[in-house]
Formats: sequence, structure tokens, C-alpha cells
Amino acid sequence: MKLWLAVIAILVRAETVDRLAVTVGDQIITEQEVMLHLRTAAFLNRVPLTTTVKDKRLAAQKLIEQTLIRIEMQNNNYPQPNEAEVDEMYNSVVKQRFGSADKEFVNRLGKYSISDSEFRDALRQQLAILSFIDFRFRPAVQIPEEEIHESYDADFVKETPGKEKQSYDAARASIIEVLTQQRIDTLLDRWLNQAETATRVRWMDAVFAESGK
Amino acid sequence: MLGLVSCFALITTVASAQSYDGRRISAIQFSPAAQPIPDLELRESLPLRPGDVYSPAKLRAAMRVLFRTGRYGNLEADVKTEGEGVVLTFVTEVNSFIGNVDVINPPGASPKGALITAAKLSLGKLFEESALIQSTGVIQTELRLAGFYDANVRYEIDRDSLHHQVNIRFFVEAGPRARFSAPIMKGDLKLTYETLIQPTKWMRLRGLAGWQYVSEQKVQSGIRNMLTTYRKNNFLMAKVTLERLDFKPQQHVAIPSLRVAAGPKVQLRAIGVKISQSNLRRLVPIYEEQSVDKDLLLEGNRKVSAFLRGQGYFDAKVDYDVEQEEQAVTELDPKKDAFVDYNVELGRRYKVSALTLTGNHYFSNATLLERMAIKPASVLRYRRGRYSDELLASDRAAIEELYRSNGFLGVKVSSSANRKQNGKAYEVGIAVDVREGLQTKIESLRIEGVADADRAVIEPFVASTIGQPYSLLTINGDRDRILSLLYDTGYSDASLYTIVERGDEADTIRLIYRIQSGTQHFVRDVVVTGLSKTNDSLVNPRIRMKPGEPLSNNEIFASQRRLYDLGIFATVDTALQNPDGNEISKTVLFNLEEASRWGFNGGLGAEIARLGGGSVQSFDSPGGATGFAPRISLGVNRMNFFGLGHTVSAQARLSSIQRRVLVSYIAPQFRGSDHLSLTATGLYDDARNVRTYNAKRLEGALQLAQRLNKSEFLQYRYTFRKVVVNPDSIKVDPGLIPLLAQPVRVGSVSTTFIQDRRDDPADAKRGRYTTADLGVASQALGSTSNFVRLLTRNSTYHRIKKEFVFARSINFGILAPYTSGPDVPIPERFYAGGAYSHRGFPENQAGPRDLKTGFPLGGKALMVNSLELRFPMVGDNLGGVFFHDAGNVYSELKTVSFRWTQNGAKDFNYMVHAIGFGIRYRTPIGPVRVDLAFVPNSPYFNGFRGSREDLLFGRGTEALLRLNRFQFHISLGQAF
Repeated sequence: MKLWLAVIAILVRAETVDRLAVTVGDQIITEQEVMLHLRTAAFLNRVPLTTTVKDKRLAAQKLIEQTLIRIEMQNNNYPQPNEAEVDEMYNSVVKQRFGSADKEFVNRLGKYSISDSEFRDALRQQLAILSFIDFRFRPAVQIPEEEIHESYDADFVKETPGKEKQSYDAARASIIEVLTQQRIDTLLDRWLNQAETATRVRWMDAVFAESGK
Repeated sequence: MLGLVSCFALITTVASAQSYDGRRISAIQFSPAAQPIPDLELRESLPLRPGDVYSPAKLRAAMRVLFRTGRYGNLEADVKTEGEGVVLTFVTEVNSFIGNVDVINPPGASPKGALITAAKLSLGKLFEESALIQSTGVIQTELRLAGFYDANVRYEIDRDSLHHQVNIRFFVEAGPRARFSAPIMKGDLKLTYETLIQPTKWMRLRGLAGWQYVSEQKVQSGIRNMLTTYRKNNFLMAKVTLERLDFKPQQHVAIPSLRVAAGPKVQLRAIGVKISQSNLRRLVPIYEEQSVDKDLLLEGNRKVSAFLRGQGYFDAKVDYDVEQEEQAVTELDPKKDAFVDYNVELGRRYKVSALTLTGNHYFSNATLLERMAIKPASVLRYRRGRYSDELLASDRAAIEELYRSNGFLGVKVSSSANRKQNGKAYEVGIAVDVREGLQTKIESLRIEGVADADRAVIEPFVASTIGQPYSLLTINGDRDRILSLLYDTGYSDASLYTIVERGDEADTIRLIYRIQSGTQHFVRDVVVTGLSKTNDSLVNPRIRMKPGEPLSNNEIFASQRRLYDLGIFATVDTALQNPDGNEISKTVLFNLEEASRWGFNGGLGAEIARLGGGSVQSFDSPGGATGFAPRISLGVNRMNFFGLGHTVSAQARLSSIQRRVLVSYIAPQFRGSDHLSLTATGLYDDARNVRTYNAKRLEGALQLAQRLNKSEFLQYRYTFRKVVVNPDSIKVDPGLIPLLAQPVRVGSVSTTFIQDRRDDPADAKRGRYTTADLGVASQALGSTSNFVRLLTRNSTYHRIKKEFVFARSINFGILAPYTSGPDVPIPERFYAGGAYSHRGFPENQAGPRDLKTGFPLGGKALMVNSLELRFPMVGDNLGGVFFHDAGNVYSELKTVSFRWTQNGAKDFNYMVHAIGFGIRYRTPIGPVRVDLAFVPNSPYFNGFRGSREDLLFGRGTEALLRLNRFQFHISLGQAF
């Protein structure tokens, strides 16, 4: 009898629905946002959801980086994606992963406890970040001609059986894009490191403790 | 079953967030119930309200708002089902903020303020205990830099949960302070060890008293001084670096290890012209940069050339060459000594004989010339004028700026120099031509972003008007005033954008002030910390902001000023608690550091002047003789008496001619008013040989001073004084001694009106200064005689052109007994003459004299009129004055006369005139003054050669004497 009373008491007591996981300057990342990030990633990658402490830490780190970018975008009035761009990406993801916005897609979203608006928000965030990276770092990247040559010599000159050898002029554009992306990644990493150092980031131990959820 | 329960608990965190989605919120609660933000403000700021539908996204938005208030370190949201709805509870962990920071027992060499600043714990900022470890380390480092190598620092914190702040105290145990020991110097010194060590000042009394205490500052200044010594010896490229400062704990000494590289000797010479070494070193930047290279030498070329142009040698040609081992070199070998020669061909020396302005219609020549540094030659001040290309360029820029700020956006100013002005080969004429262009005017003015009612409040603060010239200066002024008004009413985030659009008419603009006022902030609370001895009742009335009022930065600063004005606080730090937090109401913090309550001062000095005449034994020099009186002064102040902000002080002055002790009690801001102050004083004065007698004066006074406005003051005073004249010291006719030697009591009430509208009290150039003092001495107030005393002064100052000042001053005074009975006692009479009075007389030598001895007796009426023409002489610091002083001290009002001539040696009631010339040298504490006066009608008087004994026994001789017709005065500050 006492046991049942205890169960009833647990069922009617207040329960924690959300709490701070990380603070970034005056911005916050809640535990629910961390979980949503994990669910969205699992959904998109079509893998089962895992919520170990390590998973949560990795997800929180991603969200910290997104928050730093969001702060920078707000402070400097970077353009935000419009609804048409979000719609286009939404349709593209659905088509690419599920063929069309059919029942399977809706079911899978529900299975991962993600609402349609939460999914759209995640895509909007992705678009904004991609746009920021392009605006912020691409203009700073200049690839010297010698480097393009070096890359061509290293990766394109060798004869590959069954593959036609590309001329330098034909390969140049794709080499530039690859090298540019590498540079942008380096610049982004450096910028994120600097921004994180300059911003007060506080992890809430209770959320990431081994015994915590 | 237990397994089932625990399994349930494990899955709730994620799943439950969704399970309440769509249910209505029946109540929002906070745990704990008492929150740092007022309940109403807290609930109104939340984007969630009871009755809203719950969703995880809305909850996150609410948590975001709460966190951005800056008040919370951690937040958790709990939900409980209640009927159909849910009860949402925010569980909060509240932040604390930095309050008072104090350092206990700081050593004298490391002032408390410096250690607190080093700790970098800013008032009102978020408190984090981890930062205290860092602050402790920083304080320890500061102490080590001051030579306290064994210092221990620990901290204690005291949480003030009511105001959510933490007061921090650092306890210092400084330990013994290390001294320097003989430094180790390695490298190529070139100079002797002793030559280098002396200028470091690391030794006390050149080593006779051992070594100085160590400090970082002394180490650095010592190295700088060594480098200066090298430079003086022409080792321009010398380098001295501190390698180590080794502390030896056993001996408590620190040994500096220095690496020295003297480098080559480089000597600068000017060939073909005489330029002093100090000027040459200032002009050629190789000394400043401690390096010799081509760029610096060329820079030297330019500067020497500009220097010579400034002297009038506009065609001077300057070139340098470098010589090493008697060979001219193009590249300097840093291992060999070198001579750097600046070869100068001076050419003709010119004079700026004319400066003409053309094309200026909007501004007069006088307005433009006032802003120009170029000066044509004048007789005294600029004998060759002032001119250089750099000055002319900056003058052009200044004129263009003036025009632009008045709407002439297309103004162009050009200049030319004519080398044969007036057909003379050595004269230069500078012509400045102004092309004004068209003036842009304001066609319309609009204020956007505020309600009509607010616009009506703002409009009176806007100086720009339709039809007025477009001026950035005025616009910036408008912006400052509007923003200041908004900040003053709590809109601390307000911003103002100025938009300028082309108008419909040509050369017009439309001006738009777009205001973004942001959120209005209010005062939540005012918290004062740091008071130890001071009474709260002294501080609280001076902080005139109340909870609920708009947060005004101006009022915060005004409160800070009022507290500083009390003179009892070393620092008044003010800040907003949680400054970055997004809150509507803010807590205003005042952290006060009480100044030391005891103050001591002392000084030695001397007076050299005509100090009066002779001694008790000798009656010679009744007209005053130059004397020397050494003086010592000592003082002690006790401030913040009883914690009320009052000051008790005692000042003593001892010299061979005076013993004086003044005790005073000052209550500034009396009864909390900025305009009132109360002063009680007690004075003992034993003056000897200053005038005709020696007297001891005991005086008590109570004065209430009232400030009527910025420039006008009233003083109300009751004074009681007793003067006892030493009968043996009186140098007058023996028949008068019994009368004059009577002790005198004066009890009087008086009031003084002061109006001070001078631009600079130390050296006024315009304005006026008026005082009127009216007093009544009455037997009812304890006086031995009844009389009225009136003393007035009126001075005015007028600028003539830019550089001349005409100043005039008149002093008028009367003493009038209003009942029969004892006359006005001799110590109460008027005396005049001296550097700050009639300069035709030595100090206090004007007016009636004793008919036997010739010593001054003072008078009952005074009139002195002074006129001065002040003008510049050489450069900016040396000026001159022509003056005329006229007047005298008269026996009484009815004897006041403008008569030029003296009617015999017994007549002193005539007007004595003095004309003279003076020199003023401007210093930071006011002009140093030398005045020489010629007095064509200086008074004759009967004197006595001999001693007091001779006078009593009919020996000695009578003599007709005359005050010297030439008087000189040396003093500080203008005469009036």
C-alpha cells in the first residue's frame, strides 16, 4: 500500500521539464534544446537515438558554436534566411531522405518526438549558419595560382585506371572550391575558438554528470 | 516494483516535456518565493502568463528572458498538473554582485586605493568566488613589486543577502620590505660603475645611509636615469635591460642584474648656425628614439629647418652628414663613434610684416585672426612675427573648420607668402585668401520616434532652427542635449540618428533627428556601502534619488559630487548593480571610502619686505625698512568630526614678527544645504613690529556663509575680539601711550556681500568683483566703543582687443562712531599700502602718522583707486603692467580729499598718486609679480632719530622725513 502511495506521489509531484545546460554570455542552451538537437540529428541520419553523457556534451558543444554564430549575426545585422529559402531546403531534405513529405516522414518525425515547426527551425538555423560562413569568411579566402597547380599535380596528374585524366583548366574550378572550403573551415575553427575564449561559457555540471540525464 | 518506479523516474526528463504540450497554464510560481526582481516587474517581463497554452518553445523563451535579467546563475522549470491545467514553477539560483572591496593593513608604500584597483573587482559586477583567487594573486604581485616579497594576502567575504551583494575584504600581512643591493652590471659599460649607479638613486645619501627600499617604479626609473646618463655622455644608442631582480630572503635584499650595451658615442653638431645642444637634441629625434638611422636624421633635417623658419630664416638650407673615424660615411657602423653634423646655410632673416585676409565676408578679420597662430611682427611680443609652414597649414585648417561648422561646406582657404613685402627684401607678407562658397541652410527640421508630448519637451533643447546655417557643431550640441535629457529621464539606452536630406531649394537641407528611446529604467533601490565612521544622516540626504523614480545618470553624478564636496571621502564610487542585466528597474550603488581623518601640514618660509620701522629701542625708519622674517607654520586637521562631515583644525604660524594660532570648526553644507556653511573660529595673534605697536589679539567669530547663486555670496558674522597693546612697544608720542595702551574689546555683527564674476580669480581678464562689508560694533555686543564699519571694493576687468586688459578697482571704507564715548580703537582703524593695496606706500604705511615719531596711526576713512593696463611682452608667459594708484587712508570721512599737494608735514589727508610699471611672469599658481612705483607726492612727516629712552628724556633729534618716492613690491598674483 505504501509503495502504491509512493508511486502516486511521484506521479502527481512537480517534475522538471527543462533546465539550463550551458550559458553562453547572456544566452542559454537548455537541456531540452540539447535533447532536441540529438533527436533531430538521429532523425536526419536515420539512426537510433542515444543520449549518453558524451552524446549530450557533443550536442551541447555544437549548440554553443551555433549560439556564438547567432550572437555575432545579431550584433552585426547579418541577413537571415527567408521563409522561401527554408521551404526550399525543407522540401529538398524530405525529398532526399524520404522521397516526399509522405506518411513515413511524418511518422518518423513523431517517433523522434520532433514537431514540424521544430524541424523547420532546425533547418532555418542551418541555413543561417551557412549564409553567415559564406558572408564572413569566403571573401577573405584567396587561393594563389601556385597552390592550385600543386593541388592539381598532387591529385589529378596521376593516371587512374578507368578514369579519364582531367586537364588543368577543366579541374581548376573544382580545385579552387575544395581549397576554399578547406580555408573557410580553418578560418571558422579559428574564429569559433577565439569567440568561445572571449565569451563566458558555463556548463551546468548537473546536466552532464554521469548519473544525470 | 521498485525497479518499475526507478525506471519511471529515469524516463521522465525528456518525455514529460512533450506530455504537457497544449495544456493551459493555471499559475506561474517562483521558488524561492522571494526573488531579486520585484514581483510585478518579473511577471510582466515574462512572455508566459497564466491562461496561456504551455509549449516547450514558450518555456525556453521565458527562461531566456529570466536569464537575460542577469539575476540568475541557474534556472530550472518544474511543472505540476492541477486539474485540467498545469502549474509552472521556476526554481532559481540567484546571482550575487560585487559590493564594497576593502584592503586591511596595506603598507604605506602600497596605497589601499592602488591595491583595490589592482584587484579588478568592479562595483556592481557579477560576483564569482573563483575571481577572488586571481585578485589575491594580483594584490600579492603588487606588493612584491613594491618590495614586499614575503607578503601574505587572504580574503574574507560578507554576503549581504538583502541587497544580493558580497562585500570583500583582503587582509594584508606585508612583512619586511626588501632593499636594493649592489647591482650586477654585465656588458660593455664604457662609463664607470659609480657614474652609472649614482643617478639610479637606489642608494640613500649616495650610499652613506645604505640602500633604498625596492620597488618596481624605482627599478624602472633607475634604468631610465642610467640611460639619461648615457645620453648626456653622447651614447645615444645605449641599451640597459633588467635581466633579473634576485631576492635574497636571508638578507632581505634584491639584487638587480643589468645587461648594458653602451654602443658608440654619437655627437650632434650644428655647423653654420648657433643652436643650443638642448634644442638640437630636442629637434633631432635620435635621442628620443635611441637609434641613429637615415629616416631619423632626415626627420632632424626637417625639424631643424622648421625651427629656423620659425626664427625668420625662411630660406635656411639644412643638410646632414655623418662622420666616423674622420671619414664621411653613408651607413653608420654601430661599433664606431660618430659625429652627426647639421650643416646650415641660414640665408636672409625675414620679418612677417603683414598678414592680410581677403575674401572673407561672413566672418570679420578680427574673428579669423583670433583663431590664427601666425602673427605679424609687433614691438615687444613677436619681434619678427610668428610664422612657419606648419602653423600656416593649421591656421588654414582652423579657418576652414570654422566656415564648415557654419554651413559653408565648400569653403576653400589658400595662402601665399610674399618675400618682398613693402619692397623690402627682408620682409614677408602672408596673404590668406578665403573662398567662402555658398552657405547651406536648414529648410526643415523634424524630430521622429517620440510621442507629441515628448517632442514638446525635447524641442526647447534643440538649437538648430529652420533658416539657420547647417552646422555640425550645432547638430552635435543638439544630440548631446537631447540624449542628456533622455538619459536623465531613465532612457539609458537611448540613441539618436541624424539624417540629412537635400532640400527642395538649392543649398538647403532637411534635418531629421530620429530618436530611439529604448526602455525607460527606474531606480529599484539605493545601496550605500563603505561607511565606518560617517553618520548615515550625513550621506543619505545627499543622494537624492528614490526608488520608483526614473533612473537619471545626471542625478547619480550630482549625488556623487555632493558626497565628494563634503571633503571627507577619498573615493565615491558609483555604479549600477548588474549593469549588463536586462532589467527595468536598477539598484544604484554608492561605495564610499572614508579619507584619513587626521591631516597634518607644515612649512618653512620667510618674508622679505618693508616690515615696519625700527625696534622698541630704535625709532628709526618709521616709513618701514626692508626686513627679513623667517617663518614656520604647522597645522593639524581632524576631519569628519563625530561622523558629521565637520572639520576641526588648528593652524599655527611662528615667525620673528608674529605668533599666531587659529582654531576653527567648519560645518560645510550646514543642515544638509549646499548653499550654507557654518564656521566658528578662535584666534590668538601676537604680532610684533608689523605696525606702530605690538599687540596680542584674542578673537572668536561665528560665521554663516550663504551661496545665493554661482557668483554671489552672503556672510553673516558675529565677532568678539580683545586686543591688548604692549605699552612698551608703542612708538608714538609718550603723551598718547596711556590712551593707546588701553585694552580694546570689540563685539560686532557684520554682513558681507560678495559678487565674483571674474573669468579667472587668479588672473582675471574680464568680469567684475564686488564686496561690501557692513558691521556694527556695539557695547551691547561686548564692545568698548560703538561704531559702524563699512568697507567696499569694486573691480572690473575689460579686454581690449585680444591681448590687452584694462583693470580698475576702487576701495572705499569708513569707520563712524555713532555715540559719544571712546573713539575707534587704534587696532580697528584702516591701514593701507603695499603690494595688494596702494603701491605708493610700503605695507600699511598710508594715512595719518604720529606727529612726533612719524609712525602710522591708521585712519577712519579709506579710499584707494587703482587703474592697470595689462599687456603681453615676450612670448606667452611674460607680461607687463602700467598702473596708477591714487588714494590714502584719511583721518575721517569728512577729510577725504582729492587734493594733490600736502599741506605741511602734519597733513596726511590728501591723495597720494603712484604711477609705475610691473612685470608678470605666468606660473601654474598665478603670475609672479614685480611692481616698481614712482610716487611724485609721497608724504613728508616728522620723525625722530633716537630710541624710546631718548624720546622720554628729551634726547635724540627730530627730523623731517619723507617716504621714499620709489617703492617696489614682489608678490604672487595680480594686485587686484
